[in-house]
Amino acid sequence: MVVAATNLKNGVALSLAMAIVLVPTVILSLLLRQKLRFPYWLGTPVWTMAAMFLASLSYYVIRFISVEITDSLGIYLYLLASAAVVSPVFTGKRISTLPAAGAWALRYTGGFALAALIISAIREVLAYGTLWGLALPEPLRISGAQMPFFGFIMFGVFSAGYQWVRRLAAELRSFGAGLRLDEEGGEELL
Amino acid sequence: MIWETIRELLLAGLAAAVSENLVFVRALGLGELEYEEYTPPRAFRDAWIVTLMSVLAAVSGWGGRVLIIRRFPEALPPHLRPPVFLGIFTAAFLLIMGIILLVRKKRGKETSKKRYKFHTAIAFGFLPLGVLLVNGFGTGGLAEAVAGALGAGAGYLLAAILCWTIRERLDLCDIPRSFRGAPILFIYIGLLSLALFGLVGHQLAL
Repeated sequence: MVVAATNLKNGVALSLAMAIVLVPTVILSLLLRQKLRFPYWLGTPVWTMAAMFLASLSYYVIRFISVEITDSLGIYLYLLASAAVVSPVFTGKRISTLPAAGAWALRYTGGFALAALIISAIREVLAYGTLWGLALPEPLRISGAQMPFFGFIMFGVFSAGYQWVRRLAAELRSFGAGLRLDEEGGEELL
Repeated sequence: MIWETIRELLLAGLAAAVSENLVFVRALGLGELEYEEYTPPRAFRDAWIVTLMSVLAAVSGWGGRVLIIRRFPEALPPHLRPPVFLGIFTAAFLLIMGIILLVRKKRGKETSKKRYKFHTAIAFGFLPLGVLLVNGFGTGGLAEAVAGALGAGAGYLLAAILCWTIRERLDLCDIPRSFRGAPILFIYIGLLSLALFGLVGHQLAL
């Protein structure tokens, strides 16, 4: 996302490719590890190969976005098959059913798509003065917005914003819970 | 002649480690850099494994490219080549892993699950896959591919040690709550990437 999401078309293509790769791969990974009891050193290569096939086949879906979309995305389309993308489903979570794995994959893809679309739209407007290839009136141009360093900094700021929103939501929830306790005359939970 | 070759290979390795650093310039391997846990001893240990896997990936990528050029020059479109590269890498990885586990078992040494799980996770992580794809779609020879992979491992070590120093420095700063952890790390890495962009002067081909 940091390097490849430099315009909105790339952001949409990456999001679609992520959905095509992640959902079946997570389900396959769960099947191999928990149902068929594949050892990690064998299961990981198998589902990574499956993910790579899906990433390659996603070309037939994303090519409708733009003719040169694969040139634009480069190796980053196929890197969606990396183990680092799929393995978080088993980190710190008790996901043991196929529907739960599929739901996790969809939530992850949704979050990825949200970040990719926002970051890629902002970068395209700043770097090229266009949105989805359409020229914008009176654009503010920052040519460095297409470089990886800008992606890193944008991603950092976006992550900070997300952390701020989560913290605010948590504080509002605890404030609301405190209000409800006061109304019921209960003791405040510490 | 031989000094020219050595110089070319050294330059290829240096470029892969610094100006084409996989972490700062291509944004690979960030998932493997655990911000809260990195220390120099761990960086050296992990970089050694990453380098080995990258060399295997580079050879597999180069081999896949040569195989496709010789056998399927027209029949296999570019978007269907990565599974070939990964297939060669996977076969080589499983073969080597199997041989190592058998040899260790014959010598009476048990390999802990944690260790081979760790090696497998590194092997199929972003960095070796990135090296695989760069060499698969690239144009260099085998020696350049291996030199580049060694440079990629050195670049990963550089990135890991820089992340450790970043953390040490940032622990002394009063960072706003929302920016603590990953956000400030990404911004810091972005500034390092900007510095390396000054060396390269252009964006690398994706």
